[in-house]
Parts: sequence; structure tokens; C-alpha cells
Amino acid sequence: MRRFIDLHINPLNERIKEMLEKASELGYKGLGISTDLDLVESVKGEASVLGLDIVSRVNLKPHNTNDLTKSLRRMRRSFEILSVECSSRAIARQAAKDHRVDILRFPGELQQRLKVRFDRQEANLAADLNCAYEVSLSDLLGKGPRVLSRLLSVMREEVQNAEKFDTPIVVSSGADTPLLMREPRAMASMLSLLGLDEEQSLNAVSSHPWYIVSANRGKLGPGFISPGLKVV
Amino acid sequence: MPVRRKGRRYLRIRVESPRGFTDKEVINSIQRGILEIHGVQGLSQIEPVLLEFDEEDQRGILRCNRDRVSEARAAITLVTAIEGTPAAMHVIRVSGTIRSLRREVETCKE
Repeated sequence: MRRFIDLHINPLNERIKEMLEKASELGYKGLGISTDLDLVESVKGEASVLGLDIVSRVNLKPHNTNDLTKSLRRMRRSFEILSVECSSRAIARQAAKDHRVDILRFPGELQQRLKVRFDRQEANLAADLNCAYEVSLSDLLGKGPRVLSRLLSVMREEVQNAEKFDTPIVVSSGADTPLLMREPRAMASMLSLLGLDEEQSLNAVSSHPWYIVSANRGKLGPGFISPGLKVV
Repeated sequence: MPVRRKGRRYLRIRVESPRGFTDKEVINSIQRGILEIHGVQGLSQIEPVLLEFDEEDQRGILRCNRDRVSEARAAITLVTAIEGTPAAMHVIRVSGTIRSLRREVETCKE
């Protein structure tokens, strides 16, 4: 049986418990939270009662490549998942070839997305380092038909690039309120809209994100030296 | 002469919102969602019909064509408001027969 995980919710402090309950009700077994690290630690006990595995996540929004490198050096050891929002092509290239980056995100706003998108070069670089491309449901929700159609078209192209180079694809809600959270199969159905088959779509909300989480937990654990090398 | 029946799927749906909705409001928003995403042709292929809807607990059963469940689900996922009120729709279960869905509802009520 598949274990589903929503790798990104972005809750307000007072709504975090409500969102944990919602995630459990929707059938998730894991939840990536991008908020204050102390807050994430404080809800872990409550989440385990609900059968949820909590993953700490940080979304970097660097202004340039130097900023990205500095932030990566500072943050990498503190969070289990590290994603980079690529606001320019230079940042996207740099992030795709840095082994410390787990997930590449692209702007949700259409005008920005038309300027910077997940192209073939980035897909190729990211695939070599097992860095994932993320589709965020929050980018699509609440958009009018014209904007939605353009966004879907850009995302379809990006998904094709990721598929071509075997770059892992993950889908997450990016929800900041419980009303924006969706059940795992609903999230997978969005990838079907983007041209993936059912099996691949379900992997994007189950096996791919779990693989990233378990690999990073191994790296953050004691005794880790480099990939494949560990002090026993 | 035997005629092969159209394959159907039955989706148990739940509407979540600060206020309650009528069955007409719900099916209208589903149809509008499908039209936005898949167009008129998509709507004709999905053929969504809200068979029943309980206005008290905001749950109902939606019928669609068997081969178009994923498209229907995607359109339902993208619904963020009904009649201007923020809302979310969730597909709780998909079944090949309406009877099994009804049986589950009765079990839940018991």
C-alpha cells in the first residue's frame, strides 16, 4: 500500500494543528512543513499521535547565485528538505548543479514563470544529482481560465523535460490554509493533466518524495561522511 | 439483442466550506470546473451527474464515465469557491457500483 506525503505546507502558526488533523484525515502519512524550525519540532509529538511523519523544510528565495551559495551553506544541515525557488535562469542553473539542493521550484506567477522555467539543461543537470522538480498545486488554485491555461501549458512542457531526463517529479499542495489542502489522489490527478500516467503521478506524491526524505535523513544522521560512506 | 452498458464510476464527494450548499450549486460548480479545464467536449465525455447530495453533511454521490475519472477528479480539485464562497471538494471514495457506496454510508451512520 502506498504511503502518501505532502512535501510542502506553509501554515500560519495558529493553524498548524488544524492542518495536521486535516492531513491525517485526507490520508497522508507524511507532511513537509516550511515554517519556524522550533514550531516544527513542537508539533512532532502531536503529529505522531495522528500517524504523521513530520519533515522540516526550508524554501530558499535567493536574489543571486552568491546569495544561494551562502544560504545553502548556512541552512543545509538544519533542514531535512531544502528547496530553491528559481527566480532567474542563473539561479536555476546554479541550483540544479548543486548537490545540496533537493527540490527546484519555479515562480507561481505567470509573468515570472514565462521568463524562467524548468528547461532541458536544468532537467539534465538535476537528473544527475537526483534533484527533484516540484509541481505546486497552490500555483494553480484560484486562477482564472486564461492564466490557468498558460500555466498548465508551461508546466506540461516542464514535466516533459523532467520525464525526458528521468528527473524525479514531486507534487505538493503548498497550502497555507486547510481549505487549500487536497487528498493525495487529487494531487496526482493534476499531474495526469500535465501528461503523466497514473502510476508516475502517484509516485510523485508517494515514492519520490519519501526517497528524498529518507536519503536526507541518512545524510543528516550520525556517522555520515559522504554518499555511500558512513562510520558504523 | 444485448446492448453493452456504458461503464460508470461513482464518486463519493464531500464539500468543505464555512457555509452549506444546495445540490444545484454543487453540480453547477463541478460542471463549470470541468468546462474551464476540459471544455465542452470534455464535459460531454465525462458526463457528470450528481445523483444524490445530503445538504446536512455536505456529502453526495457523483456519477461520471469510467474512463474519465481522472479528468473529473482534476476538475473537482481545482474548485476553490462555490457561488463566491471559499470551498474545497474532496473525493472520498471511488466505486464501480452505487450500491457499495450507499452501503458504506449506512455503515458510517451506524
